[in-house]
Amino acid sequence: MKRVFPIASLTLASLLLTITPLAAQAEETFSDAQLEVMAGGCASCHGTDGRLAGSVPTIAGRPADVLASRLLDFKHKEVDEVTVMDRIAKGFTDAELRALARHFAAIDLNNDNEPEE
Amino acid sequence: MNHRHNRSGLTRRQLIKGIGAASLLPLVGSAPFAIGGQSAGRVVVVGGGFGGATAAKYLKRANPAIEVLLIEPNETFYTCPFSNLHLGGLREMDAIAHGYDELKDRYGVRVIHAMVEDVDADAHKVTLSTGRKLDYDRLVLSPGIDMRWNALEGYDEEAAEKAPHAWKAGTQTELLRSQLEAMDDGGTFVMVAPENPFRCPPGPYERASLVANYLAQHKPKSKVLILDAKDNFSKQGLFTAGWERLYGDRIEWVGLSSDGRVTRVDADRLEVETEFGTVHRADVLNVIPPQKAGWIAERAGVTDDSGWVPVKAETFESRQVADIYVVGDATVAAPMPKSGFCANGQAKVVAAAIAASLESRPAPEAYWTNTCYSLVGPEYGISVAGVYRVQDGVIAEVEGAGGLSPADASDATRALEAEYAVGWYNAICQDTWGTSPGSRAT
Amino acid sequence: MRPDRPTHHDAARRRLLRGLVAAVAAIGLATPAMAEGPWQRLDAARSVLGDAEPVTQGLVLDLPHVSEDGASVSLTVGFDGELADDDYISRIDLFATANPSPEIATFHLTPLSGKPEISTRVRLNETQQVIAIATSHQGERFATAREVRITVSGCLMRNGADQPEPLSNPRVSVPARFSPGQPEAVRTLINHPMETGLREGPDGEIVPRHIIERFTVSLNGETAFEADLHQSVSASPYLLFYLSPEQDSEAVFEWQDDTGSTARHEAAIETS
Repeated sequence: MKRVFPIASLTLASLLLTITPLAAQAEETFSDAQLEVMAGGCASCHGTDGRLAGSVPTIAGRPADVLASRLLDFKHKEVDEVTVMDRIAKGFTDAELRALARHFAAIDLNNDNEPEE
Repeated sequence: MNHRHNRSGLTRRQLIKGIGAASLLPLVGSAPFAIGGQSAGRVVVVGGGFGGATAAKYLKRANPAIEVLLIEPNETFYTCPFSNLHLGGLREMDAIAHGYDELKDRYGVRVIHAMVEDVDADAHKVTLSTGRKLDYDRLVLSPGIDMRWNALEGYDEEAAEKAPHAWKAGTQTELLRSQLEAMDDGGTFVMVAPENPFRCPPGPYERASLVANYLAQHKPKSKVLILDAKDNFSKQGLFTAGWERLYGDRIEWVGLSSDGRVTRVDADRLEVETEFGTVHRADVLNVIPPQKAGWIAERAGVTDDSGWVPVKAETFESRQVADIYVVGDATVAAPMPKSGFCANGQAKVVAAAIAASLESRPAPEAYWTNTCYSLVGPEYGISVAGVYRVQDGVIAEVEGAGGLSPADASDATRALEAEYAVGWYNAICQDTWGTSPGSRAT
Repeated sequence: MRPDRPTHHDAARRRLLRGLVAAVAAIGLATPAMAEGPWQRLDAARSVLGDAEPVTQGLVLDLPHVSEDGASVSLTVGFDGELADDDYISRIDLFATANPSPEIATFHLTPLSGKPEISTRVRLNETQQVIAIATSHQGERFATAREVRITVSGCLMRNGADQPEPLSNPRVSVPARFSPGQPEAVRTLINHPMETGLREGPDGEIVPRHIIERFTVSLNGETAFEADLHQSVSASPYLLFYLSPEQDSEAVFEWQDDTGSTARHEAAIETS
């Protein structure tokens, strides 16, 4: 599986994430089975494994730091043109949002289920 | 041949080979682990809607070695979500139709098109309408709803052929649509809306909206009257504002405290009577009656005296019968609403819980989200969202999350939500059945 | 290797525990008449009971297990127990144990009521026990309680609809003809905000209390049924009760709110 996870953006992501006080605590980790359940609601708009392309953006295979910062922005800030993601992101802890970001980032778009139109 | 690997590492070819071997064995009385030791247990899923189909697929995703049998009477499943668009003349039936090929071919679910007639929970067996009996290690019921006939005096199955409920999609949807098409201009579409709890809280009001939209364009002298057994309904402020904005005074809503509760239906005369004796005559009459869990739930012994199914919050296992899990509209899962989105999410928790149970390990913690989209008009979307966790043994909304679309949103935002509603429909159908009508303009 | 079925064993264990408790009670370690119930812990209920130990059979409270909207929970209270020949239920009190003010309503019945059964809609602030206490003409007391779980379904978030004029649109559904000795149901509804006096209005000020306090039904001038209502009765109070007139009657229905304003509805009843 191809993982794109440049160290530079990891540092940048860490910098972004240290803005929130929770980042000072040890990061909670979740099992694969737990993440599957945690991510369960995402598929309803983003497709199974977040692969679907359409009016709702694909999230599978996007860089973890990009997904994480987007989710945290939805939760903590006013984002332009947001409709529902703020209301959803506020239901998860920062650690959960970061874990979800890593979970979707790790999905290989080139393998298995082809994204459907 | 392209060998594609699924998440567990088994190739598609290995999967199909496994199923082929299984189908050679007689199912009656077979021990679930007899297939050369490969099976991790057998799960029978009853109902192929948002709950059942998702449960079947996600069980296979969790562990392809679990034998999954899906029992669904229909070969084509028509979704209630977006059926209001057919009623409003905005979509054909094939745009809400879904089949089971993907579940069979890609995931190796064994799909049997039959009804389940009996459940013997002690013997862990279900009996099909074909007479065949199936053993199970775990049973998932996703039976949807059934109407409580005669809860409204005069509204029985026969009456539904004249005054359709269209609260199960398919022929009822087509019937109601044909009645609307045949209605004379100047007629009144009367809808009887039920008390809580019922399938899809915003559904009746989206229906009224899209019927009003159709009437505005094709039968402009016609009106919509909603007679409601409630004083409050889902997204009420947003709907009311949207109706005024888009349809003027075309939609009239009469709430419970204004004598809106209907107690008697005359389907022959298309008349309804309220509890205080007011009679309303309709040109097209849509009665959405009081409901209960799909009847097989009662047969299985999982319903309580409310007619719905109480479940354990953490796993959606029945509170009354071991090894039976229930998902979707049939359950008592408040504050989660009865929606396809919730059924799909509950099915994922159940799949994880059953996979864990079959391996004697603890189930993961449950998470659910829900977003109910409603189209007040083809380019005017509104939504209500919720995030849910188990707190103190019951399902609770996560505080600070969820909520309604803003009351003062711009037209651009309403249009964007309408687009996302379509995106949601395509995605959830792909996630559930693997089929998606694709992006279609409404 | 069939996995464990923990639920089955749990259920068996629960049954065993319940059996033990019942056995202990039967031995007389607890007197049958000393019925345990949430009414013992609620002052308002205890003041209605006085020294009496209520009987827990016979009074039935019908409420949903789970209600998705605490603002309007349908409730029916009825009595189908044993009474002396010349006795009748003369009073029913309802309490919401966890509401800011627990009294819901007090109903006064007479022989002209005919059947001791009342339905209404109530406000429940949160998950809690609802208590009903019935008192008979000769002083027998009965009690029962039901737990209701209140959730506000996310899909049911309300934006307040327009409030109609208080005491407007009185509606009464009463049969025009009665058979003597055969009680029939009467339904009534009237618009009223039933403002609790606890709510903050849009301007941040507390909206003052404004409720219907009393509802009376008389037949030929004689009081047949009365209700004292409190703020836990839902807006636009709905009351279903029974009447059993003995002769042709002029029925008068009257509502009075805490400003002294009244509304009135009349109906002619025949008995045959």
